[in-house]
Amino acid sequence: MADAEQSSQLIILGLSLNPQVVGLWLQAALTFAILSFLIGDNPVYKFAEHLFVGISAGYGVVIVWKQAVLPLLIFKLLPQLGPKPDELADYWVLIPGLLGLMMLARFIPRYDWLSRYPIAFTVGLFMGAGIPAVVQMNLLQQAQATMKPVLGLGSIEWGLALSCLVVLVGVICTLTYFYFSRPHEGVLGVTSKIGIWFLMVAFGAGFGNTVMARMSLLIGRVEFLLYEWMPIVSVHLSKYVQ
Amino acid sequence: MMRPVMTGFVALLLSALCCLTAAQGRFPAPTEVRMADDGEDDEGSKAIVTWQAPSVAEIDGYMLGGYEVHLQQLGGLYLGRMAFSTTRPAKEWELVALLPDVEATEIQLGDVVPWRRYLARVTAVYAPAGEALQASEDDPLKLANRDVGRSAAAMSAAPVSPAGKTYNRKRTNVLVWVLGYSAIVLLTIYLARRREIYIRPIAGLEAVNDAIGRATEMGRPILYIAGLSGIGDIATIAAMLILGHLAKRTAAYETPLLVPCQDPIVMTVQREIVREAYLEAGKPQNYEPENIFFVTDSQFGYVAAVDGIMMREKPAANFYMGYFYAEALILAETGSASGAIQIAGTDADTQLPFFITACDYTLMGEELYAASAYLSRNPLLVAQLKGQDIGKIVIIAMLLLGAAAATLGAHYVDWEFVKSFVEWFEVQR
Repeated sequence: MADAEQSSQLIILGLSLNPQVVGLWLQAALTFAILSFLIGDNPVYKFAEHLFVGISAGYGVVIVWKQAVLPLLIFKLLPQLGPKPDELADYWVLIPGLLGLMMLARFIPRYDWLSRYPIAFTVGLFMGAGIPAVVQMNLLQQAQATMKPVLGLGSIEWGLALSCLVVLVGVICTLTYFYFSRPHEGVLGVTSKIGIWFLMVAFGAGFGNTVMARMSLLIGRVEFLLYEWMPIVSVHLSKYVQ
Repeated sequence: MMRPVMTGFVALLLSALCCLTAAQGRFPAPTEVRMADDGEDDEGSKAIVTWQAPSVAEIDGYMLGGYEVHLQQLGGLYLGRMAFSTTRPAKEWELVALLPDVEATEIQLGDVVPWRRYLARVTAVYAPAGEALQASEDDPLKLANRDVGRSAAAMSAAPVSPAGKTYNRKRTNVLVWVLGYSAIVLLTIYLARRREIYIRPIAGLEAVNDAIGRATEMGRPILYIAGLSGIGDIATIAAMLILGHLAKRTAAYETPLLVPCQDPIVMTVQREIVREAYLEAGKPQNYEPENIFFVTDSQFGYVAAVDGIMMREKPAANFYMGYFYAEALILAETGSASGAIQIAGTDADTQLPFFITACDYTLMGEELYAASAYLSRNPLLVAQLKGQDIGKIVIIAMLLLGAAAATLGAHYVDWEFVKSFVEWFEVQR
C-alpha cells in the first residue's frame, strides 16, 4: 500500500510530491509569471503568455470538435456513430457543413473566393436574425419599462412616480445626446448636456460595481496563494530546515 | 425427447400471452385518441394529444388513476417541410408523458421535432381502489405504485406532422417597428440626394486622423482590435466599417496595421476588408495578410497575447472598436502604459466606464454606429444616420405618450385604450 502511494508521487529536489502538490506549484508559478507583467514585459511573462495562448488555442480546437463538429454535423448525418443511434439522419446539416468546408477554401489561393459565400451567408443570417431581437430587447422592452405613471395619481405612490419621472427624463435626455444631425445648441444643447450627466452617473456606478468585482477576483488569487500554496511552501521549507 | 419439451414451452408461452392479453383486456381502454398540431404560434415543436376517458372507471377493485402517453416517430427522409415519410416506424414507442390524473383528457407535448410524422397512443392506468397513482420522485415518467393495471393501448388513427407557423402573431409589434423604421430610413436616403446633411462633430472620430498621423510620423504600427464578439454583433459590423476607413488611410501613408483576432470568421472578414481598402488606396502591394492574424478564441489568452504585442511592438495608436467584456480595462491599461494614443468605441455599457477612464477618446454606444457615416461622409450612410435621428424623435414621442397613457391609466382605471397603448409594446413569449 505504502509502495503504491510512493509510486504515484513525483520526486523533485529530493522531495516526494504528489501530482496535486505539483499542480498547486504550477498554478502559483504561473500566477506569479502573469503578475510579473506589472514590472514590465519580461521572459517569464512571455513564457506564461505563450503557454496560455497555445493551450487555449489547442483546447479551443478540441471544444469545437467535441461540441460542434461531432454532435451538430457528424452525429446528425450518421446517427449510428453517436449516442442516439436510433435517431433519424438530418440531412439539413449538409448545408452548414458545406459552407464550413467552403471557409477552408482560403487555404487554396486559386479557390479562396469560395470562402466569401459562407461569410456573406453568416453576416446576412446574423443581421437578419439580430434585427428583430434588437427591436424586442433594446427597443420594445426598454420602452415599455419607461412608460410608467409619472404622477402620484390613483393608487400610485408619489415616491415611485418620482423615480419613474427621473427615468423618463434620463432616457429622453440621453437619446437627445445621440442626436447627430443637428448642432447641440439651444434646447437640444441643454437636454443633451443633462443626458451626458445621466450617462456619467450610470458609468460611475458601473465602474464602482465592476471594480469591486475585479477586487474579488484578485482576492481569490491572493487567497489561493495564501491558503493553498503557502502551507505547502512552509511544509517544504521546514523539511529543508530540518 | 425434444419434441414434448418444445411443445410444453410453446404452450407455456401461449398461456402466458393469453393471461397478459386477458389482464390488459380486463381494463377498459380510452377511446377516440387524436393527435393534432397545437395550432399556436410556434416553430412546430408542439403537438396536442386528446382522448376520451374509458366508459367504466372501476373494475375488479381497481380504479382508473391516470394515463400514459406514448409517441412513435415514423421513418423516411425529412428535409424540413419536404418529407418523404413512410409508415415504417423509425423508433420504438417512447413514453413521453405520465398523467396521474383521472380527469385528464388532453396533453400538450412540447418536445416534438417539427415536420416529422408521429403516431400517439394512450394507455389507461388503474390502481387498487383507495390508492392514488403517483409518479416516482427519481423519474417523472415512472410510476411509484407497484400494483397497477393497464388497459390495451388506444392508438391515434392517422399520423400527424407538427407544422411550424409562417407568421407569429405575437411579434406583430416587432414587425411594425422594423417596417416603420426602415421606411423612415429609406425616405431620408431618398430625400438626402437633394441636400447635404449636417453631422455634429464627434471628438473621438476627429482624433482618428491625428492618431494615424502620429503613427506615421513615429514609424510605428497601429493596433486595431475589433472586440471579442462574433460577426453577428452589430458592434462588430460597425468596427469592420471603421477598419475599412482606417486601412485606406494607413495604406495611403504606408503605416503598418496590426489586427489580432479572436474569432476566425471575423478575421476572415477583416482580411477581406483590409485587402479591399489597400486596393482602393492603390497600394495592393503593401497589403500584408499576416498582419491580420488569429490568436486564440480564449478571452484571457487573447488578452495576454495582445498585451504582449503592445509592450513589444509599441504601437503608436491603439483602436478598440466593437463589443468588449471583462478584458476592456486590461487592454486599455496596458495600452496606456505603452504610451499609445488610444481611441475606443463600444456599445457594451458595462465596459464604457473603463474605456472612458483609460483611453484618450471614447465613442459611446451609437457614436460607434455613426462612425462609418462620419468618417466616410458617404451620402447613403449619412442619410441613414439622419433616418435614425428621426426614429429617435418617434421613440421620444412614443415614450411621452406612453408615460402619459400609463399615468392616466393609473387614475382612470376603466380607460382601457390608454392601457392597451402601453401593452402594445409588450414582448410576448
